[in-house]
Amino acid sequence: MYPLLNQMQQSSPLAIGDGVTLAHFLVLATVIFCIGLYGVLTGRNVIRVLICVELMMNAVNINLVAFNRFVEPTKLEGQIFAIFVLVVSAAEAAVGLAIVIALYRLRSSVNINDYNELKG
Amino acid sequence: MIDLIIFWVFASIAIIAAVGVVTNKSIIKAALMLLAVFLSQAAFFVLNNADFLAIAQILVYAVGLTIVLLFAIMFTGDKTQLEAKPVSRGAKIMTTLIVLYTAFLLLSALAYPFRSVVLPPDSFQVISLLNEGSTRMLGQLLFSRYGLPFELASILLTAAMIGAIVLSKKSFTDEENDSVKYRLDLSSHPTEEAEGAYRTSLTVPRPLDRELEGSAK
Repeated sequence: MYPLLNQMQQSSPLAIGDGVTLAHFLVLATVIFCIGLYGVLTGRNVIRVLICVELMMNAVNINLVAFNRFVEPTKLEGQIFAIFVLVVSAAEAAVGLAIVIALYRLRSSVNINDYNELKG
Repeated sequence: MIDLIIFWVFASIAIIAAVGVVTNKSIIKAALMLLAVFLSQAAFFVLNNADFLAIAQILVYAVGLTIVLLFAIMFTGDKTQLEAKPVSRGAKIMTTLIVLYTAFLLLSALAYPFRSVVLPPDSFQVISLLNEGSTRMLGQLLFSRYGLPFELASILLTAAMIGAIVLSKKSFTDEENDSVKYRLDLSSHPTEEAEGAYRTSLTVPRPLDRELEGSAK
């Protein structure tokens, strides 16, 4: 029924196939994820930090969809997971930006260094 | 072959734009760079036979999220970002080390022998295995096996929507922003200045005022 299943093989993503392979997507997702992580850790603007979190979530989505295609192409579990990541990140962005606006109203600033109330 | 070309074109766009998101001084340009990342990721979804997700990516991320982000940036103003003190050199070096270590951990997954299916080279645009797009299969899965998570996601979205409204609403106990108090404060009404076309409901004498005037006479 699924002829592609006959070509299934056990190997490292680096070793298989020509054209675009799983390794391409994994390395790309890692690069984007790490750029996002750097932005989260060094960003001084709350909105930039939120943007970089979105970047990281998107890198995860690339991974999910790539695994779905290369490891289990007859099922769509990976894409379902990516859809739920989409939903959660939309909710996170809405609440996160609302918090940013509330904080801005409180402090007239979006700089992370100004939110030091809990530092004591 | 063509899939490799498409991959590298969009991968370079995505990486350059992602670097721009982190390094660009202006936060509004960073948000627009993020738009480029989102759009190139829709291309990766198409490469991976995820046609529904590609469209959802454009609708939710590239259109919806970017607009909400731009709104938030405009609400909070662009000038505060430029005054922000940059992080110190030592913090940058430490962050780079942390990021490199994370990259090492993530890339070590490449050593694991995944059970992989090699698609024929000419089949990159064969959408799913049924040749009819993944949307139908996704819908069937979402309403059968993943029905409960689907409903939970709707509850999560409702909660997030209510939470966002409550969090960003102006508080009525705040002295400066008390719009109810402002409306009741008759002395602040510009009854005299606003004339002609500039008259509003607040500047026109109300029935109550006329009554008071009549009783005074």
